[in-house]
Amino acid sequence: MREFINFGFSGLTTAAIYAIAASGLVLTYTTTGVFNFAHGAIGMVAAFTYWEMRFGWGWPAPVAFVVCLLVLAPLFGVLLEVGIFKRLEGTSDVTKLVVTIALMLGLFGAANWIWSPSKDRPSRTFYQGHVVKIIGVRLSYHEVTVLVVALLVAVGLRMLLYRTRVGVSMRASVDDRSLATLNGARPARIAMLSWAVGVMLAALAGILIAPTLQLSQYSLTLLIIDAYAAAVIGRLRSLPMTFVGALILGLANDYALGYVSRIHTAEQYFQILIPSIPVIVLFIALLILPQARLRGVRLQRTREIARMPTWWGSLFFCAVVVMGTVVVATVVSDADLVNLQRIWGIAIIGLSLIPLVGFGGQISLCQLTFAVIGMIVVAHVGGHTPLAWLWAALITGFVGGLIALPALRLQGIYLALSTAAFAVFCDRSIFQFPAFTIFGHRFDLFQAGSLTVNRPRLFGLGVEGFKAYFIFGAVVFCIMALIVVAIRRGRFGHRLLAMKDSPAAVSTLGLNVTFTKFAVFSTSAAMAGIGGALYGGALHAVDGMAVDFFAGLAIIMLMVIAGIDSLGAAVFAGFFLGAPVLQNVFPSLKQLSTVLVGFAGIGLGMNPNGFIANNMRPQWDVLLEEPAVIVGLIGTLLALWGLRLGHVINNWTFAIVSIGLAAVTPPIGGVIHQRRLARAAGAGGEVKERPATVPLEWLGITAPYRPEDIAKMDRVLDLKPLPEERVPVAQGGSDGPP
Amino acid sequence: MALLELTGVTVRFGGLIAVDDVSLNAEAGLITGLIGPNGAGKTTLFNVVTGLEKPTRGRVTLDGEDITSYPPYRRARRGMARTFQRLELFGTLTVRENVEVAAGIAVRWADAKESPPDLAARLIDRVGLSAVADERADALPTGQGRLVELARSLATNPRVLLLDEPASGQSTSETEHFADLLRALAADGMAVVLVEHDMNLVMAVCDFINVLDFGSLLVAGPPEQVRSDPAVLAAYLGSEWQADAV
Repeated sequence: MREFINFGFSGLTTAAIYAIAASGLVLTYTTTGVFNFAHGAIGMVAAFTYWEMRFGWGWPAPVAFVVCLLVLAPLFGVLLEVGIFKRLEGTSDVTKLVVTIALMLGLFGAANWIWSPSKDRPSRTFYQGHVVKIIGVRLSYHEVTVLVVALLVAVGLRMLLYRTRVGVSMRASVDDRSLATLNGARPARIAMLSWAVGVMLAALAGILIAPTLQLSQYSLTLLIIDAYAAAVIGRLRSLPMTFVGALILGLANDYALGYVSRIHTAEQYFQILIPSIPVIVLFIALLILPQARLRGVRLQRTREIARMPTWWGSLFFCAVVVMGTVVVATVVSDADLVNLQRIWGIAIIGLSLIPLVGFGGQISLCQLTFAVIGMIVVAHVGGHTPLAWLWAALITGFVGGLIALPALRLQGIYLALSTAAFAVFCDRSIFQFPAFTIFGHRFDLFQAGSLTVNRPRLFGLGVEGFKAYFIFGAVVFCIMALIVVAIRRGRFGHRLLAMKDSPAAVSTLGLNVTFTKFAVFSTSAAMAGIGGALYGGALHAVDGMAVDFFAGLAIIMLMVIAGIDSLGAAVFAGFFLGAPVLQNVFPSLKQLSTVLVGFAGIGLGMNPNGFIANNMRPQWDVLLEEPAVIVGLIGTLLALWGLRLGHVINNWTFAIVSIGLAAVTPPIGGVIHQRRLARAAGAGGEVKERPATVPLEWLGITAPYRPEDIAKMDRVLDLKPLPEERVPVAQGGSDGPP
Repeated sequence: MALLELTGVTVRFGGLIAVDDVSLNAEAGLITGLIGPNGAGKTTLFNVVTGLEKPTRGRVTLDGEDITSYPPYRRARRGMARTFQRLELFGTLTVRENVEVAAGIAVRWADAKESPPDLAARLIDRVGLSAVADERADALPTGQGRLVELARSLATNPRVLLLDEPASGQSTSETEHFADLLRALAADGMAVVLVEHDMNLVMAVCDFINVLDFGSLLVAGPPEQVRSDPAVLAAYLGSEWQADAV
């Protein structure tokens, strides 16, 4: 009994910290509509900053505490709102979510950069060594502090939301932002306040939990999972229920920790499940939550470009990819190819996100986990049979559907939460699981060490060599890319886009939305499984630590930065993560790529279509009308390749000149195109090249009127066309109403 | 027995009663009007009928089959279609694709004689949108957007068609054309339920009108009766108005 009470108290302390973290998360989500994935990362940075002040610089604890919590944290919160989140209003939920993930990656990378993870940072609890006895249980002062703080947070939030004017406006803006504005609330100020308080709570949780965990970037950042598991029990809205959720989590965690050593039969299995208790609680909560109402998406003039790829364009793209791969394969050394081989596996994992996120508007944060499952399947089937890949696709597709099922009934955000939880669950537990036996069959995921992932052999043809496997990868990538194009052009793709635009409308037209989401999620998981099989073949040997959650997030970030519905984005993601360019050029800055990816993603709010659709495609589209330029470019590149093969130039020259050529061709082509238009116009009167789209209100100012503009205006303003003779200038006289 | 029957439908949002014990019918081949001031619960009632909202109490039957617990897509497959007051277009698709998606979804159960592309082309022509068939749907003005929604719902070959303020945003001539279209649809045997604020249109096309106020059914009857009912006038215009004002 004494023990039971002991574990209970320590569970309460854990619960208190979860509650502090989760309440901050819920507060920002309900008042601003942004689900902050970086909540844990912010707490982590706060914990490290506190450590640096307290132990690095030797400041007294109260000073460090006050500076961190009451000065830096609210300042950072306000900065986040003003600098980033204010500009995200009116963007899709996926964009908002991805920006917070970017922030999380950026902070994670930066913290690893500033505070080297290899250094040991001994930390001390508050009031080290002091204990107090309550009903026979020895509690440290630190634990008492944590409990008191949580209580203060609960009371404080309650007072803020129900007793102050600004708090009442906060609750009002949850229900309807514009309505709250009409009633005199100032949403800008409310949002700032809620970010300031949210960040303070994250920082508080980070600083309080750091001494009891170890001070590590990884585990503190992943505090977010524990926090949102508690928040989901409060349905991401209710603060009291969130506290209840935290209580359930904290007690479950500490009782499990306390009693697991008593189980003698299968202790090792339970031991490995303990870190995943929040994830397990989360999935149970998701199953219990009632079905969400289908809501329409408010029709906004989205800035989203949904371009339909043509078959010819896609085939041309594939030809360029395969040719480029052949060129690279012939010029680089085998040592470099060891790394480069990974490109196509990663690119296919990126590609798997296109139908899911780009077309269907759903999100998955565990594609890399599916890839690892694909690798495991291929390794277990063994041999070199291509059937192993089929199994990889089938099994990952099945697992994907199973994972998604509980969340599919709910709003999109829950799918993100449960997939992230699944990824962490696999990292922490499944991929570390010891061998077990069911029905006489022995399961051993990683065969107590590393798995060998074989490369397929088709019709007796192997792809064992570096060059062969690299080119093989490009071909597989192209096949997958064409499958994506087929989906986009076919009935399924149209349904997905329709579902993204209005789930309410498609369901009243007879589409089973849950099943459609399930189908696209499974398809996407299966593609990721194939990507994993290819990636695994490139790595050859895979162990449970080969990949982690953050690497998977980086793939999503890169895809979104480049443009989530472009095939090119997948190539970009593959190159960025697979080719060791950054590591080679800046060997001392290991964290550079994470930081870069994070901060590039934060800029996403301004450019939700990604840079390929926004910047590159318009430039290259012009070139299609100047075939001579394209032929010239290809010819020059082939000539350069010839020079390289003849050892006239080296790899650096070849790479720099090729990239330079590709960069200057669109502007040059653009100029040539303009010239030709001008010449054509010179013959037939003055026609000025005008930008493709002139905003309607600027017509007549930045570009001259044309008859079709007037027709378009009539349509947009819903006017009847004017009689012919009145089109140029309105005539005088009395105009009666039509 | 009417094709669509609502019995004692009640919807509560927390303490608010949005729809209070409403019973009404829609007969095949007739146009049934549903009118009432803003906030009377008309759209909520549509949501209950199409399955987007669960009623707190009450029953919805379609052709004698109790569909109260069916999800939206199963109702659609039994012949229920609707348009939305706040447009729910597939904005990234073209007008043609909007209708084709609906035709493609319905192809499995609606016994359409044409292929989805043919059906889409015919319906776009029927609602008069051929000129903008290949424009992106979110580039259209509201009035035309409503016609896209109409064509889209017709593509599922419905037996019951619920229209939520289809004429708002349309010009006078478009509305006249629209009235003819509604009559033609009813003549085909469809049960049309119309929520509309344009009283001229409602009075001109409806065979039967239900008036909702504060969530409950105020009056139900043919247009002539509703037009002169004092309770309706009071609800719509304030109690001091006379019958001849409408």
